[in-house]
Amino acid sequence: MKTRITDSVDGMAVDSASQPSDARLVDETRRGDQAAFGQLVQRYERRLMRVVLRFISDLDLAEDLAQETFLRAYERLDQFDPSRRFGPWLFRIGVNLTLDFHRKRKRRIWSIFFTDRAPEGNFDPQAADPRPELDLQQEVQQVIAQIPEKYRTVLVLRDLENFSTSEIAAILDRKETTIRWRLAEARNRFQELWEKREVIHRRADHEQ
Amino acid sequence: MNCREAKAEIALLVGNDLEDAGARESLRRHVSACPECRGHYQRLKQTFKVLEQADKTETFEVRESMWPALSTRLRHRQQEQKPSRRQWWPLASFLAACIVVVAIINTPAPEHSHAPVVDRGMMSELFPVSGDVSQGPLPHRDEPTTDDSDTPAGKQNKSKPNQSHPGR
Ligand SMILES: [Zn+2]
Repeated sequence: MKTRITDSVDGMAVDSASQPSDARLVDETRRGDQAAFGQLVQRYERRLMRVVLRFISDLDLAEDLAQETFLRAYERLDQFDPSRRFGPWLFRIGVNLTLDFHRKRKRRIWSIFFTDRAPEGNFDPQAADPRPELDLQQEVQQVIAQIPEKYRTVLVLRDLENFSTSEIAAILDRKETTIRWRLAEARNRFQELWEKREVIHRRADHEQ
Repeated sequence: MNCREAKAEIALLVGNDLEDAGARESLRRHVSACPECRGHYQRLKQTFKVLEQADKTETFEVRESMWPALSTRLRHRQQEQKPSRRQWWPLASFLAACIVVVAIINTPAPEHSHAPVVDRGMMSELFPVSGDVSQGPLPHRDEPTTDDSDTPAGKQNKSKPNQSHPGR
């Protein structure tokens, strides 16, 4: 069965009458009902995959990380405070796992699309390859990749994944004011970098 | 409000993340009086559309649910853990007991000890009933449970509960 990832922020607050709440499924899982955990997995796996894929573009790797996230969540479920929401807690495990993995392979992950690009930090605009066939998604990814991680993470979670700033605060274990400050910084940096690459595009068009 | 603050708030405003009406009003006043920040606002608004489009154009195909694979892995892990505990601890206890016996047999009787000298033959008869005849390792027992110290509340961070606002 193929499923398509939707844009909804589902899973973060599924409390409709027909479906058991996250809290209930967590409780049943703790009592040994593995099928209840299965429901949580099915509720969150697409969203989690989507988030992981924002940082890791390899589908197999992303699925490994998503599976590992669920395994760890299952193992640590006794540490979960049921008065809190399951979604941010799960994504915190997932995002940390992904970022750890990403840091270890820093020079590779973001360059899967752009194999000739320098790693973040020493980006040389002149060396950029403004391939016209890159679609918007890839161009955005390319620019986001140049933003330092602590800003980039917030930008991805807020502007590409539509988490609220309070959810991001819970996921990244930071104060919401910190998240808002980083978000502002990230957007301003994105704007600068985006304009810079538009200038390169125009220059490249002019030279042709 | 200076330009630096204004630029940060403009960046929040373009994504509907400046909810405080007072902050919006003082930003509006600054921007109306500051051409530079006005220009920044216009450009950022344009660029932000790109991010919104990138968000919308995202359509990943996902493979089947990972739950069947995951549940298999979970079951395997549990099966690995349970029997290993059952098989391992009696063996460990037995080995520990052997070590104690060997240690006792090989330990020369303390010459200046105030402790009553115990006949070795007697000692091996005592073993393993008495625990205080030897300073050597005791047979393994189950460790006292420390689960109480691991309360979920202690592990969680202290930030406020989330009050999610609906997305944009
Ligand atoms: Zn200004």
